[in-house]
Amino acid sequence: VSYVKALLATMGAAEGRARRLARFRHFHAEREPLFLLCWRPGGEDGRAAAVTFAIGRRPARTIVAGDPRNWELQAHMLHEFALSFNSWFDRFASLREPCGRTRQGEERLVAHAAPQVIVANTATKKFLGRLAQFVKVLPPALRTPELDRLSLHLDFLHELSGSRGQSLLVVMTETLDFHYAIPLTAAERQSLSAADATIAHGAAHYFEALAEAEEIQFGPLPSAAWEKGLFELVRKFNAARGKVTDRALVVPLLDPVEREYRSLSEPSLEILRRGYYREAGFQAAPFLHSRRLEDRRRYTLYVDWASGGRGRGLAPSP
Amino acid sequence: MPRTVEEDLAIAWRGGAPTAGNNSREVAKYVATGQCPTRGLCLAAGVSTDRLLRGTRYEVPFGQSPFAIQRGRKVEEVARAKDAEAIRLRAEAEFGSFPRWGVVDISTFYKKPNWDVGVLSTYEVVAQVLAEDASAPSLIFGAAFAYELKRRKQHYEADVLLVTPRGVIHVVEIKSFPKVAGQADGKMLGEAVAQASIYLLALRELVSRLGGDPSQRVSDEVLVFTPENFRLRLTSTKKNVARRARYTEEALRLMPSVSEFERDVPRGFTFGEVADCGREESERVAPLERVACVVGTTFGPECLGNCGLFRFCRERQYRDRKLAALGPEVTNLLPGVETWDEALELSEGRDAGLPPNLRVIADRLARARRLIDEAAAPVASHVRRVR
Repeated sequence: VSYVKALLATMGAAEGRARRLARFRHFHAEREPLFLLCWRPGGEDGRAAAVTFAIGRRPARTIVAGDPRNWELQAHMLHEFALSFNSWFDRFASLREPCGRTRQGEERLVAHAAPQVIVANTATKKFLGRLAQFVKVLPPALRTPELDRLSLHLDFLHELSGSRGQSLLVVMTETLDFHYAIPLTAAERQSLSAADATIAHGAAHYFEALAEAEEIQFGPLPSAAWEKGLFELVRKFNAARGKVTDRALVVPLLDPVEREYRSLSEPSLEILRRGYYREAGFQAAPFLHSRRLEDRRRYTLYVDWASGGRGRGLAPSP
Repeated sequence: MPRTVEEDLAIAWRGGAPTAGNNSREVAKYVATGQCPTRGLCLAAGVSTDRLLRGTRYEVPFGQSPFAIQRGRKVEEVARAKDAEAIRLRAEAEFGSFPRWGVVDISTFYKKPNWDVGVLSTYEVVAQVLAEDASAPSLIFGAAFAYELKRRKQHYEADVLLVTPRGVIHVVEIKSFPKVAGQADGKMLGEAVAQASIYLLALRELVSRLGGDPSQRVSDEVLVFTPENFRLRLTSTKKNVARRARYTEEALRLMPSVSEFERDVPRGFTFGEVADCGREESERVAPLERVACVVGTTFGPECLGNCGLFRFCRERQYRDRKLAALGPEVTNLLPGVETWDEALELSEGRDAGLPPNLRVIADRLARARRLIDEAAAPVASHVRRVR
C-alpha cells in the first residue's frame, strides 16, 4: 500500500465513503458479459452444488446438482451447464477480422470480440480452477465432449486471470480494490457487498450499511447456518430419488433445492451487476483498446487450439 | 476434585453465558487474535464469544456446515478402517516398516466432558511407549491431555499420536479438506498446524512429567492426513511446527491469568448479563463495553472468523475513529498514528513540534496529499500531462 492509498482510505473513512483511486476505468467493459456465481457444499472443494449465471441484464438461470457429492449427479449438472456456457463462450470466435500478418506473411485473423466472465471474488476465481481440475478426474463413463470442453475453458480463464490487465475474467472485488481506496481490512474487502457498500450506500456513513451488506453471500461457500436448511432439503431429495441419477428423472425433484439457491443468488447477482455497470460507466483508460486486442488474440489462439489443433502441442500460454 | 480459586472465579464471571468447548480450537483462536485481552478473558472464563452476543446487531455467523461435518466423519472412518491401514501405509513410507502395528482407540474409553479416564489412559499408554514396552501401540487414537494453562486445567483431544519404530511420537491430525494436485488450502492447513502445535505442547509436557526427554521422544514434525484430490483416499503432509509451537507457548505464557484479570474486571461483572436475551441490547452491551475498556482489546483483521466479538469491537474502532479499522496495511505504514484525524492532520503539513518519527510520516503524508490534490485538478490538464 502506498501513502497515497493509505491517505485516501483514511479520508474515505472520515468522510463515510470510499475515495476513488483511479480516474479512468482499467478494465474492458462489455455490454453483455456473463455474470457467474458458483456455490459449493461445505467441506467439498471442487464440487459445484449450483451455478447461477446471467448474460448482461437478461434473466438469470440457476442449475443445481441436488447432491453434488454424488459423482453422477455432479457430472450431469455440469454437463447441463457446459451446454449453455460452451456455446456462449465459443460463439465469439465465429466472426473474425484481419489484424496484421504472421511471421510467414499470412494474414492474421483475430476474433471480432471476446467473452467476458464476471465473478464476485477471488475465491470464486480459484474455485473455477478447482472445478476444471475436478472435471478432468471424472471417470470416462461420466465424461462428455461438452464437459471436456468446459474444463478447458475454465482452465484457460483461470490461467489467464493471473495475467495483468486481462479482461476475460473480471473479479469484482479485485477490480473495486484497484479503482478505489476501500476503507476496510483486506478480509472485509473479500465481501463484494461490503466493499460495494463503502462506495455506494444510502446511509450517512458506510459503516452503518456494513453489517447488513455482509449478510449477502457471494460464494462459493455459503454460510453454515444457510447450509443447515439446505442439508435437510438435500436429504429429502436423496430419499425421493432413491438410487436414480438420471438427470431427466431427478430434475422434477430438484425444485426445492433450486428455489433455495435461486433466492441465495438473487441479491448477490443484483449487486454484482450493479457494481459492474456502475464501474463500466467510467471513462476507459487510453490503453484499454490495445489491451483488449491482446485478449482477443489470445482468445482466438486458444479457441483454435481447443477446437482441434490440440494435437500440435500444449495450450497457448497465457 | 476440589476447584481452585481461579476456577471459582472463572465460573462466577461466566455466569449464565454459553460455554465454549474447553479445547484446542478455542486456544488457537485466542492465539490468532494476537493475544487480545478481552478474548483472553473470555477464554479464561470459558465463554463462547460466538454465542455471547446472539440476538444483538453484533451477532456474527458461526458454526460448521453439516456437509463438512458429515465429510469429516467419513474421512475419519477411512482413517480408522482396517486397523488404520491408510495411516500405516503412509507412516511406513515416511519412517520405514513397523515390526509390530498396534492400534489403540482411547476415545472409546471415555465420554466428554468426563475426561479423567481418557487422560489417565493416555498417561498409561504414553508411559508404555517411553518404557519401550513391546506391547506399546504404534497408533493412539483420541489421546486426551489435561494441560495446565495459567493454573487452570484445559482438556485437549489429539486426533492421533503415531509412534515410529524408533520410539519417537508424532502428532497426527486428520482433516477433511482435500489436497488437490499436491497442494492443500494454505489457510486450512495453517489452522490444522495451529491446532497440532497445541497438542505438541501438551504432549511434551506429558512426556517430561513421565520422566522422558521431549526433545528426543516427541517430534516437532506433525503429519496432517487429508483426502487426496477428489476422492477419499488419504495422503499426508509433513510440517515442522517447532516455530509455531514456540509462538503458541509464548502467547499462552503472556496470556494474563485469571487472578491478573481480577484486578481489572469490575466487581460483580458476569458474562451472563451480556448473554441474557431477555434484556435490552443496550443493557447487554454496556457491561461488555466497560470490561473491554478496562481490560483492553487488540483489533485486527484476524479477529474476523476467530472472535464472535468482531462486530462489537469494529464498532468501537469506528466510533473512536481508529486507524486499526482500516487494517494493518494502513497502520503498518503509519506507526505511532492512532486515529484518522491524526493522520489527516499530519497530511496537512504542520510538523512543528512533532517527534522525529512522526515528522517523517507527516512529510510523506503531506506529499501524498499534494499528489491527490493535483490529481483532483480538471481532467483536461491531467490528460495533457499523461500524454
